[in-house]
Amino acid sequence: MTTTDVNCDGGPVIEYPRILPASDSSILIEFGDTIDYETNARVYALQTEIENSDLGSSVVEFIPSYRSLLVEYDVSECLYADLNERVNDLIGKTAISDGTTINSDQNAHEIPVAYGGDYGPDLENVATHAGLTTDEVIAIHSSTDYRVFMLGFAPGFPYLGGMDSRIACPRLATPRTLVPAGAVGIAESQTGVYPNPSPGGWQIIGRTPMKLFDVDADPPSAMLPGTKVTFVPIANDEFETMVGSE
Amino acid sequence: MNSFVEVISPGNRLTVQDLGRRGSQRFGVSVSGVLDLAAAVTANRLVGNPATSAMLEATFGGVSLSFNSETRVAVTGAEVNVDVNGFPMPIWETMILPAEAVLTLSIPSTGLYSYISVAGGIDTPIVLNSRSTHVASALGGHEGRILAAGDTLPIGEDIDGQSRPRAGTTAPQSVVPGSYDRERPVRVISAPQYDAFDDDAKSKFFATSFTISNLTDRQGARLDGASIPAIDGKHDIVSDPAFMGAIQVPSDGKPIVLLADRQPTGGYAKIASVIGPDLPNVVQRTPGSEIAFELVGIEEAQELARGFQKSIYKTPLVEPARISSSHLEVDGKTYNVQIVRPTTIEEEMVADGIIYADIRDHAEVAVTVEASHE
Repeated sequence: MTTTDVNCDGGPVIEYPRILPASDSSILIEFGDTIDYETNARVYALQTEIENSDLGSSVVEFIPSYRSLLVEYDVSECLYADLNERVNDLIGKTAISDGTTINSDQNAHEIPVAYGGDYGPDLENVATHAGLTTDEVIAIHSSTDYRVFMLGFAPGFPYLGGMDSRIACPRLATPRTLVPAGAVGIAESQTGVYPNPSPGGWQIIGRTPMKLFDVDADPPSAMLPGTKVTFVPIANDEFETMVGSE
Repeated sequence: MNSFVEVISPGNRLTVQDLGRRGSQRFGVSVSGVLDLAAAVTANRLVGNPATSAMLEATFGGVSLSFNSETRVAVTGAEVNVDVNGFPMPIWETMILPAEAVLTLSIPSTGLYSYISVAGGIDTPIVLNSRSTHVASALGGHEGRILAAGDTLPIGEDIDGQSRPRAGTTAPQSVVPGSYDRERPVRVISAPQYDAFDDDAKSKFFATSFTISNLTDRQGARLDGASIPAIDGKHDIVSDPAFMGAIQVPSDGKPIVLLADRQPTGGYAKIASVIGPDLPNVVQRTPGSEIAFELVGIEEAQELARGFQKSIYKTPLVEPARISSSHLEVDGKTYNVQIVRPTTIEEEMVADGIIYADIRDHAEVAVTVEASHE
């Protein structure tokens, strides 16, 4: 089901979906090389199919991404050639109609954000870069429905899709050595929230008092792939109250 | 009395690790865990632990530890000199340390990572199904951090002590790094973005003897020596799953072998993946060492991987050799005394309660004492 041709530039043209070995104990299924909801939905649909199949017991773990699924498996239980065949069959069973998104019926998670000031030291940068006022940046950032594509980079870090391109902004020239937990940032056309303190190069426009990652919770991440997210502006003193009440 | 180990000197970087935090990469959580699977699994087997028990991973030796009570211990991995209370002891071998013993590891002559296992395992809290320390996200281990002098770690209960390997039990030769051929190229399979590199770049990758950089850490082994260009400079890809042994090539063209502390996803093209059996050989090479790669197919890689799994989990340990034996009569009972090897102390002596103190005071000699047929 996989063919590879050469296009007129000499680069390879890949036909999706494509199944290939990633390592001696993992298999990668690619559904495309773009960031869009439909490709992403196929990734999670296949993960569910595999979890519900008899392959589940050989699987060590899944890493779903924007457009591909890595399945790490126990090489003493099964081999690539067999797995390729089985996964190929399962892909056939995953009926994804155009425009489908996962968890599309979920209610949006509302993330309270204190924008600007000490909580959002780069809000001015973003506004200047966009040619907008800081209030306009806040209004745009908090009036959009976002969706979680995947988690990665750090525990519970959500890659959110759907940001308005008017407030897109390059990363900081020099990344900060420490970004606080709850920092809400912008990098190019992406926005995200740092669940834990970490180094980071995103433009920080605000901060949420909400705890997004908790090792004692099941699941540990509040924002799972497919979750809808909106940001709700709060005043700085509300931030203090919410942190204090935890 | 609860057993514990106290860190007297942590060396370069001492952490609690097990086989890794599995099942949470989908939440953005790194696997972490031991770097050298062969050495770590063997260390646990030598003290009779399940493979999943937590142990200490030392970076470039220089570690000193004390144990409050009698403890079955093994040291594997890098070639270090080990001593207990000042007496030299072997690595890749089961030891039983008396209470209050001080275990010291020198700087290694070859290799980088040492594994110190204790019967019952290091019993720090389980976080998301694992005790492994991931320092960058402050998860697991002891307070999510590198160990410091004065830290005290609980040791799990050593149940079934009598059925655990005896002092002097050694690892099978097939897993001891002395039998690795360090000159041999590291075997890889092609990785998902193999075709993001043209034939010239691939030839260069396989023809180069790279040098392991000083910047190498638990997250990745960084390689100097040649720049491997992607077609049209397209080193950046849409963020994609990352995995142990993946060799990614960022835009400076310098390959990085992703290791235990890698992030679950990454945005650089991956040219190749190191096969599991050759990973110990990669992680144990010190900065400045040379490294070259050789391509194998997936079928061969998986056959080798299965052989490796079998070798590290199933190859029988080597029972201690009996150097000499004699009979001893105490309180009218005849005991069979066997000298196992210098400076090991067997637990049967405790069980039988004879001549133990005398042996401990003269720790050059160790014996097993078994009740003979009466």
